[in-house]
Order: sequence, then C-alpha cells, then structure tokens
Amino acid sequence: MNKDEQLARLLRLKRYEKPDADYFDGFLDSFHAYQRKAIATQSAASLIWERVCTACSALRRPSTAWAAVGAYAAVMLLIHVWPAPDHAAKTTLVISGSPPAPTTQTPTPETFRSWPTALPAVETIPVSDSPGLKPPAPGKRRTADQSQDLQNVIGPASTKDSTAEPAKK
Amino acid sequence: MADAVLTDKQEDRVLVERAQEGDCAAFDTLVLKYSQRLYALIYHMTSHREDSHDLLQEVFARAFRNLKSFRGQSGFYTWIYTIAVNLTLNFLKKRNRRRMLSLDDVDSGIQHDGEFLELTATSDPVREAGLNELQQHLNEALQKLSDDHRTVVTLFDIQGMPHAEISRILGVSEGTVRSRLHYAHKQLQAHLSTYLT
Repeated sequence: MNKDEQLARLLRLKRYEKPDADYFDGFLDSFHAYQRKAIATQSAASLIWERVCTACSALRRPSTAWAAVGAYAAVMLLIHVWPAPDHAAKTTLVISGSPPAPTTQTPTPETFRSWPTALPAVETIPVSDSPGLKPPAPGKRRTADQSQDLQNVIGPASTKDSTAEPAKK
Repeated sequence: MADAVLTDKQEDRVLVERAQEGDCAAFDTLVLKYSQRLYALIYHMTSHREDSHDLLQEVFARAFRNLKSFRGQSGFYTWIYTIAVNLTLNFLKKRNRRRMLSLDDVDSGIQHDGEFLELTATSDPVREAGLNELQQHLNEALQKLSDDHRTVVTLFDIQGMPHAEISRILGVSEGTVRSRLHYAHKQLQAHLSTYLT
C-alpha cells in the first residue's frame, strides 16, 4: 500500500467524528429558534447586502467575470486617458519616387544596377508651422564652399577668418 | 444509481418549489435531509464543533431567506453546499488561526471499520497512537493546510465527492481542484509522515 492510499484511508477515518446521536434530532428546533432571533435582529440593509452576495456567489465563475470587467475597464482607460502624441511638431512628410513597376520579364543584373539611378531625388518637406523646424532664411544657409565647422552658424558670417560670403540672391 | 440520483434531485426540486410557495414544512424536510452532510463539511473545515453548529444554522437561515432567488439552474444540493463553503471560508478568514480545536467524539463504529482494522494491523504507529491521539494529529494536520486546500480535501477525501461536483461548488475548474488536491496531499504526507510507512 503506497503513501497516497494510506493517507486516503487515514482521512476517511475522519467520517467517524460525529456529534452525539441526539444532536440532529434537536437541530430543527434549535434552527427554528435561531431563525426567529435572526429575523428580529437583522437590519434591512444587511438583508439586502446578503441577497446581493448570494446572487453574486451564484455566478459559476466569478473570477472570470471580474477578469473580463477589469480588462474592459483597463482598455477604456487606455483609450480615454492616454495622452495623444504631438505628431504635428515632429512629423515630416517624405515624398519619394516609387521603384519601377514590376515587369513580367526576368530581371537581369543590369536592371538592378539601373534602379538607384532611376529613382528621383528624395525631397523632405516639413509639414509643421513650428518655428524650430522652419527652414533657415535663404541668405543664411551654408554655401557649398563654406567650411564644415561653420555649418551651425546662423546669421551673417561675422567670423573674421571666413573667406566665403553668404550666398546672395 | 443514476436513477437514484435523479429521483433525489426531483425530490429536492419538489420540496424547493413547495418551500418557495411558503410551505415551511417542505424546507424543514430539506434541513433534516442535508444537516448531517453539511455539518460534517463545516466541522472538517473548522475542526470546531461549536463553530460548526453556529455556521450550520446560518447556512440554512441564509438558504431560506434566499430561496426565492434559487431558480434551479444547479441542484439544490450544489447550491446549499456553495453557500456552506463560502460562509465557512469567510468565517475562517476572520477567525483567529491559533484557536484551540474542539472535536467531536469518534463514533464507536470505527472499531468495526475494515480499513481502520487493516491500518492498525499493518501500521505500528497507528496502533500505538490510539484513537484520540490519531484524531488529534489528523485535525492538526488538516488545520495546517490553507483554507482552500482543506476545503478540497474535505470534499474529496472525507466526503467522497467527485472532482466535477467540487468544481461546480467552488466555481473553479476541475484542473484547479486536482492541483489543489495534489499539493494538499503532499503537505499532509509531510505532516503525517509518522503514520505513513
């Protein structure tokens, strides 16, 4: 006999723990007395609460029901309370050409080599009115012959050693 | 067997319908029918006979007050067992854990039980412990379990209820019932190792 079976037998012995033989004979009278006392003392509010609790316990799977309610509440909270991101300040619209239309012919290595050059130049257009993203005034741009270390200088080129003049229109 | 269960359920349904119409004698019949089983359930969960008596009265009182809301979706047996388990679990949450045991006497019929005779014949610790000591140790071991684990052990091992019925009463899956039983048995084997050879 293994341990599981021995344990099961030991536990079954607990069935012999019983109250006295006359306990259940007198239980009904005792219950009636208890009911009369309870009716006299119980408040209406506690009765209503008790009925609500009993009705809730009648739900077969209360944990599942509460989980569903919780999940729904969390989704609604996310939708309504989550701050909307400020797309307008950061988004740029990129317009680029599309690759050549697909062809039924088998592509050759020559076709692949021709693709990058076939694409038109990519142009970036800021869509925001934000002043920080406005393109610099035409006269203040670094010209092609300005040195690289002056690329962040905005305004008239006041640097003495600068040899290049701002581009004029 | 199935016919007997069906008849039992039909009998309950008739009694419940009569009680719902205001027939108190019908409800008394239900009280008499289920008091022993429900007392045993509560007693094995609490290991305290006075608490069991109070809780049993409250279970029937609550069932009587809520009888109108019972629509027969489950059997009366399952419904009243659910009330008893929930009420007892709520009571155990509030009760002081270190409360003394208050045990019922062991019925003298145990001396003629085949399993008990075999246990005393094959297990020296069981024979040497004596009935009262064994009862005390069994109850102490059960009280060391969590309330949820003790509930499934009471329903399955002591009351002999099938897993499906336990899952309906507790409102959990059968897998959860089996899992709780597994862990409860492991703990009980550790607590009662002296009696298990």
